[in-house]
Amino acid sequence: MIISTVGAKHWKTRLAVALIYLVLILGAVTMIYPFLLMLAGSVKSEADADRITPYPEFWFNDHVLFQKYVESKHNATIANCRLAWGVSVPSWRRIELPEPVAPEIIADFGAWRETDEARSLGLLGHTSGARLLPLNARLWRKSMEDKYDGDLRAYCQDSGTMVTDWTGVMPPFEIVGRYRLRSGTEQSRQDYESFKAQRPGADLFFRDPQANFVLDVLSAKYGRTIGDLNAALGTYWRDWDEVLLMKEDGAPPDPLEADREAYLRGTAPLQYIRLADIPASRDAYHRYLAKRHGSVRAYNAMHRTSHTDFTDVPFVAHIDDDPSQRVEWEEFLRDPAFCQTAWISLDGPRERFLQYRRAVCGRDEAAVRATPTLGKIAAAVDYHDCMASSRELRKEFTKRNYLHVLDYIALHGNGIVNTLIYCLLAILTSLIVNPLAAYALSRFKLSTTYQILLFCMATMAFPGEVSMIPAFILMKRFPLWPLLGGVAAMAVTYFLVAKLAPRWRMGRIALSALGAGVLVGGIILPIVLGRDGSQVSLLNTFAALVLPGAANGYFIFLLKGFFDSMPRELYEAAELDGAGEWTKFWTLTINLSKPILAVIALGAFTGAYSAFMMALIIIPDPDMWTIMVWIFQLQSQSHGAVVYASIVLAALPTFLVFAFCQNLIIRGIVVPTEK
Amino acid sequence: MYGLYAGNVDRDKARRDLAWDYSWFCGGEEANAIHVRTFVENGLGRFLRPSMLRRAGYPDEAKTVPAGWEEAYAAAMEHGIPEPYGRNCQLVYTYMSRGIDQILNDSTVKRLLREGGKLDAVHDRVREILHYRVENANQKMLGNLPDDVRRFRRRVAAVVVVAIAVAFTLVFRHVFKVFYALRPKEEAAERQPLRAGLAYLMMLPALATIAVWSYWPLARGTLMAFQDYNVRGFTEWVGLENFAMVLFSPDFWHAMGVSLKYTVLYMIFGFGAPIILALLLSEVPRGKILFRTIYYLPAVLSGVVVMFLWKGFYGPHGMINTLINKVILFSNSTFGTAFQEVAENWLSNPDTALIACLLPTIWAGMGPGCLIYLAALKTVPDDIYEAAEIDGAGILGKTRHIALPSIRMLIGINFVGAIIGAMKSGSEFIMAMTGGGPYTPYGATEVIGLHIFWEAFGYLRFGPATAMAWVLGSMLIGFTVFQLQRLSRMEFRAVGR
Repeated sequence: MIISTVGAKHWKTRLAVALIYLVLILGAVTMIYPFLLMLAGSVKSEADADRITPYPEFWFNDHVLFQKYVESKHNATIANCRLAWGVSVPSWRRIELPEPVAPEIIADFGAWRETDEARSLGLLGHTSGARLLPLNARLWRKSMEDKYDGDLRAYCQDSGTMVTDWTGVMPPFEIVGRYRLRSGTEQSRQDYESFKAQRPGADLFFRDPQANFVLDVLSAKYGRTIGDLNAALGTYWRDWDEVLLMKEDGAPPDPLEADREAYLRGTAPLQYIRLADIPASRDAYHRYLAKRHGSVRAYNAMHRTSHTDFTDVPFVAHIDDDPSQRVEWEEFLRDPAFCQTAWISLDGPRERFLQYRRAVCGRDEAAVRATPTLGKIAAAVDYHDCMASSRELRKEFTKRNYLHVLDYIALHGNGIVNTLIYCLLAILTSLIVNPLAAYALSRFKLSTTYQILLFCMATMAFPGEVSMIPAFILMKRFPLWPLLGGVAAMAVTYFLVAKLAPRWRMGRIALSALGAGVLVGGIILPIVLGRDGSQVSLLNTFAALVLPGAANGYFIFLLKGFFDSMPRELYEAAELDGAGEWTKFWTLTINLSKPILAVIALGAFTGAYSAFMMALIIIPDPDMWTIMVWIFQLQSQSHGAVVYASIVLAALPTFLVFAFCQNLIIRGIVVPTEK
Repeated sequence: MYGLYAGNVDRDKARRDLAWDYSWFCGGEEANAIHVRTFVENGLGRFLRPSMLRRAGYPDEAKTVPAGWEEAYAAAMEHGIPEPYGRNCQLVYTYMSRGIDQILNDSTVKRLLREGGKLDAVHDRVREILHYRVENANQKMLGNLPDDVRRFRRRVAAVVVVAIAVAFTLVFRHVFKVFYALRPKEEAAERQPLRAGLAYLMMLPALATIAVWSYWPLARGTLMAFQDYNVRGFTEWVGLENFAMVLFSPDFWHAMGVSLKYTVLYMIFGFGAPIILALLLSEVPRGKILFRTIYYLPAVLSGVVVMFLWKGFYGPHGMINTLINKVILFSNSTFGTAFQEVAENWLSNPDTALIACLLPTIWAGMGPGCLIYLAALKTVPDDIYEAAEIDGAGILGKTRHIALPSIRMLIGINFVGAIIGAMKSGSEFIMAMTGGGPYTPYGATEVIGLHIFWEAFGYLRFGPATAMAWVLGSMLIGFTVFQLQRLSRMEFRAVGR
């Protein structure tokens, strides 16, 4: 101890100790702070990804929690949120808390959401994220796994997708734009509808045509602010909320009529349009068909029907009533010469909700009129839902990235097993090959000791890139049999010659052994076995991963040093007791060298566990990949937060090993001193 | 694409025709209409070309496209030149990016722009840089060299190669002689060939593994230094061409310089840190194990992960800038200073990039590095310290005269080892951080290891890469041998039984 216990109370000593603590604590903070950032980063998502904090903000901050909730609910697509709320949303991070709305409206909306008609109009949220995996996507995957009992091929057939494993199974998507586009087959859509029916109403969001009209059409045409609109049209609206797509009954006409009509005819989601089913409209429709197709025969030929006259063609009020007439129906809608404006009405989410309210409020027309726009309601209800279930949300957001990584690794089940086998093999070979060589170097005082050590360590002077390609080629065409044969020949010749010609000097024996080895291994066996017989491909095998790192010059050097430090007397005593070479090796040396062997094992384990570059190249077959390679794959297709989560999980084993074996490892360190 | 280029419809005329018809359709008006309609319906109309929108019958939508896009596109179509195609052209964007990097970081350009109003001078300088870059790219991609220059370089290369070979031979002969002198006194082993044979048998797995997996690829790789190795198989012998190119390549020498700079920086900042940490940890009265674990934490993350983490920290809104800005704000508000807030990416600035790459290595290496020093410091018996104290030595005195000398051997060995390590490695890590750094015109963080990596796996020029590796290796082998010589003069002691 530099700072001894004597004089420890002296103020100078105390100051020194305090300084030491200060420096160490500062250093410890710099060690830990990045970790905290990483841990906090691992539970983030798009909404809070760029807030650098050492703790997850949404644990304590309701505003951030709300932003994350909105992001997740609207499937991480800003357009969805815009059209659900009817306001311009620049980014998730800049979402403000919405204005509150009367509690009874919130309650009514919540109740309406649970009805069947609302579910058919709404889109399911939490199903996709910006390269994250939100709740409904996970639940959908699970429900599909349960339904098909793990049979991926059956799922692929039924859903028309071609995924290679369960991690690729995602919910079918739905777009409600001008047309309603849904992916997947009939079967998968049905499954999705029943899945949607089980999810709470809070998971649904609605694309409001009003929002589409105001934000995309009017703003683009007249200007962003209400002032621009007023200036262009000579009106006096105070707020965009007053600009309605569908006016209330009996309201006076305003300068937006032309835009409204153009929108309803050409841009509005066709799902929400209804045509009046009256004799005049039917007649107009049939006349339109006649003009478009010319003759009934042409119509029949195109649609594979057999009507005798156009008047037989059934009139459809809503596009889904007869999908075969979609194209004509839409063209009819667009054409003012045939389809009159008065026949077109909007039947979207807001209209349905107003109907519901009317039924609930009864005679109270004023209450119904006071219902705000759907966007405002949706925003306020979202906030209400978020605060009501804030605890569950916090838990969900914290664990979802980790579940994502764990799911991924578990689904590629071979990864864990492969990693275990690989690490075990690496440790075992390291612990067999290196101590043997070090023991030989240490105990048998050969004259070539240092030449051999130089041989083992000289390659460290060269950068590794040089040998990567030849190493790969070697693995592809490994001359297994010539090598084994040559080495065996060399050993056999050596011992034979040593036995049979005891007077020969060491050099001559060695030379003859070498010659025999080269003869057998380099010439005879390759000729006998031919090219294909003698070469073996080591790709996709554990051998390729384990063999190159089995012997490490540095480890041999460390071990030799350790063995050298063991007292000679021990061995002499053992010899006196009649111990053979094996006993001396096993019982004496290895038993007493546990610390240094622990160091070697740790080194081998770390090397094996984190190796993925070479592993990726040598093992093209995904079935043989280790955890690290899978994590590398995951990182290339995931959000930054998921990458952090995967890093944290991957670092756990190494950390645990070190934490528990610290003392053992410290004891195994050897230190050089003067001879 | 599936049909015509995949090659699997070559034999089937019907499929070929179908593929052709489909491709033709994709370029036609109807397909354009469907494409446009899908985009417009989903609110993305303003990202399409106005001409496409108008053709498909959406003139209103065409007006929502930002002004200027249409003109820019028309100008590109009229004046643009298609991508070059030819030898090494997969790298043409890399070379072009280097030109842009250089223009952005050029001090002359920056100065002229700051002074304002001298656009002509700026244009001239930019043109100069571009001209240089074109020459550079031609030389590197196509290998354009005048003949006499080529011959001269080959002669120099021949001399160097011979020199390397001679140097290696001399070094190894010297080493063998030295080790022969150091051999164990008892030669009993050689007198019993059988016993010696047992020893060699025990070493056989290790020696065979090293010979097969380290030496054979090295030897085979050395052959590549004299070839123009092509991964797809058309390799040809070019003799000393690779060495000539390497020795006269300014990029190579610049990378060597960067490596030296990196090594020096590492030795100054990174070598002493574990030692100091070990001294502190061995003196702390309480909490040793806790601190040890904390300092070892960064080492549980694998290397590339550490780099990835720090790359985020160095960004314009990363941790480092956030912390610095907090300090600046604090100081501005309490002390009334007027510091500017920083918002730069530390990795894009050629002056700071190298140190920025070094910091994570030091951060992650402190823990494991200090373990061995800790163990060594423990071996010093307390009596020596007490004796020194009685003689009147203070804390600093005791450190300087007792603690440090006791680990002198260890420091000496690690010193050489650290130099070797810093010179030749670091390529994957720096690759992950900056890919070689801002190129101004030479990579500011392109160490020689990374340069070799780029040459081998980026440009697929294995011949020159191997030549570079040999030049580097021959410089480092001297260090390695020196290291081994010193090691052989030491004996090892185990610590902390």
